[in-house]
Amino acid sequence: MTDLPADQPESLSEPVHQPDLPAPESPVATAEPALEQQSMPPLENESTSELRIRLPVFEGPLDLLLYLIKKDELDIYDIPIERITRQYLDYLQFMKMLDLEVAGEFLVVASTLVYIKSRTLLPKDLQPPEEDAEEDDPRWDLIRQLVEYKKFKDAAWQLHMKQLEQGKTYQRGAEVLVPERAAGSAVVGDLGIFDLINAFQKVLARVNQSEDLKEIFEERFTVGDKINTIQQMMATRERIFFEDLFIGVASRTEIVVTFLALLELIRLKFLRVMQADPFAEIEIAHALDSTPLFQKPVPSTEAISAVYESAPVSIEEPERQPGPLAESHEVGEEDEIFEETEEGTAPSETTDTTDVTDAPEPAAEAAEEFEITEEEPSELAAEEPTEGVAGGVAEESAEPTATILEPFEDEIPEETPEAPIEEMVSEDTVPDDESATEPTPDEPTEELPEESDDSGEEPPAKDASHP
Amino acid sequence: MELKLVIEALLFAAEKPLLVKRIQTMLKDAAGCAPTPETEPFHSLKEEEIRQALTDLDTDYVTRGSGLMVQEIAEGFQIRTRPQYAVWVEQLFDGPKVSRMSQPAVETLAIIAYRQPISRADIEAVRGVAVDGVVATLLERKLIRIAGRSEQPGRPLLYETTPIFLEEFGLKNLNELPNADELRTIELRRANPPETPTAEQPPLFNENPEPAQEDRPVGQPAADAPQPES
Repeated sequence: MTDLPADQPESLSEPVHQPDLPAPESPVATAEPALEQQSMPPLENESTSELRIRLPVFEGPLDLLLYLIKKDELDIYDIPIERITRQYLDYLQFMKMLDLEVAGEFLVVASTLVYIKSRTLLPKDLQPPEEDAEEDDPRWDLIRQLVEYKKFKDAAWQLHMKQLEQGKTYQRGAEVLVPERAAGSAVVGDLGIFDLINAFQKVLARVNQSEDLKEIFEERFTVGDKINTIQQMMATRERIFFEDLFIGVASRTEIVVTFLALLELIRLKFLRVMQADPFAEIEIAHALDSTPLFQKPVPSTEAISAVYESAPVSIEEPERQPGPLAESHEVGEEDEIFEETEEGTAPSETTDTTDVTDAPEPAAEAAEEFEITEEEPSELAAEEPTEGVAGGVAEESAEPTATILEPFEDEIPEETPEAPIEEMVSEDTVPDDESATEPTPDEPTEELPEESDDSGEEPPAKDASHP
Repeated sequence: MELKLVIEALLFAAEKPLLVKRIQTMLKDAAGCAPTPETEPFHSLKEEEIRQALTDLDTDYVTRGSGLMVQEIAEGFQIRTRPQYAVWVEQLFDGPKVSRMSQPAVETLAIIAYRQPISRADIEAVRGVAVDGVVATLLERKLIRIAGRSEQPGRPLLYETTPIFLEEFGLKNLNELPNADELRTIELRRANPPETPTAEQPPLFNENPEPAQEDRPVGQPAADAPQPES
């Protein structure tokens, strides 16, 4: 678990030719034997929590193939197609199961693999002739591509080393990176909510084991508090890393609230999130025009923050605001209810989870909205919220239960207890959960349209809160 | 007036790497504009002489034990801090200079560096995955730039690396790329031209036997193929 955060930065330092792949090796390697003998469930179990975090390592289908080949020390020129195909498809399956976006290219390679495999099943003289094939071996095309790619991958690794080396020398008048990079290299638009949520899940995964049911603890945190905390953190610094936000954060609820606070600040355009490039660490910075928050006289934040402060997870907003903003807070209220029930008494699992699944929606909405307003409105926003938000923001309270649940049900009984995920620990209700999640489809649909109003009519809502 | 000291002043004042030719021109111009006994000796120096002076200057730094060095980089020369002082210089910049580049970014950059000018589709043919976002990032960081348009159908944009790339990666020129000989010359699988959109099985337009490929008897894999792994 501890090396997970290091995973992303590490991903670069993981060239094909290196003997050990730092992050991905351990979980998968252990899962591998199981995979060979039995079918999928064991693998799922062991790697479920890891896989979503490890994913960035496999940038594309070829990376995945190379990884599989290297893992088993296979000869790249003589790939056991049946085995590789099976493993590859397994991975695809996990990615889907975890709601990770499976790029189309993965499917292309998958179909190629299956095609090759099916060809090899035929007696040789019955195999249809390959069009344009200069080789009899149907694998050859793929192998060529792999070899070629690997060469560039290795070269890229060497280049990267050179870059690190060169990074230690400075010319006169070297750019001061803080402002420069913030404006230039970090592509604001590149960071979608999906990335944020990925990072968020990572943080969650880190604490999931230690989480106990502490009611009092949960109640202590409000979005308003967390907004203040983030403000303080940002007051003296240009940028912080996303993960810095969660240092010392103990419970899942606190993480969730912190995350919501972040989203809120982004939505209000006080902060923005950046990423130097895909899968780099997420950084949080002041919005372009912003002075440190505490110096900035802005009624809107204060209003919002005041609202949040008064109630844990913003219960009061509905009363104050008959306006469209109300829904989001209503949801917040539900959220709170959920927390109480979940933590203290767990009488009605079903209601809980439904509530929970509502709760994420505002976050998702906020996230989506932020995405649209702050960053590129177009493609990113379009893709990510659907996948990422639904899966990820729901994390707030229910999502882990929802997404990770299915794998777990199978596994918990049969496999090592060592693969502990948030849900297992925090909820003794694993069997119920599935039923609990069922109602969810309905709820979000109700919520969503209202939410979207909210985002649109933000300013009026704020005004409304004053009287 | 010693030549290497003149050059030192030039390098110090210039923020970007200075090409030898440029130094040559400047020395000449100075002699032309202000012909004095001091400038005139440098009026028509050969490039080798200037290079020699650059080497001498760097040697001076070494012998004197300077925190600076003269580095040949991006086709030119530049005065830079020595790597061992990075710990302190970093403090100027609130952290290490190199921002972490992701693996896809470096890979894409490498493919462009070796194969420039190259179209996005051809990059994708090598990487096997879309590179739009990465290319945009690299463009924004000015590590690559648009080199023009290909003559292929659709006239796709072509990309090439910039001097900033050489600077950031500490390369004198493209020939200094690791394993440049092979990777700059091997024939690559190309992206499908738009007319034949059978993306699944891009035909190999270039049938070039790579060295590695020859290691293995051509017919053999076919024989093995039916029972790959049981």
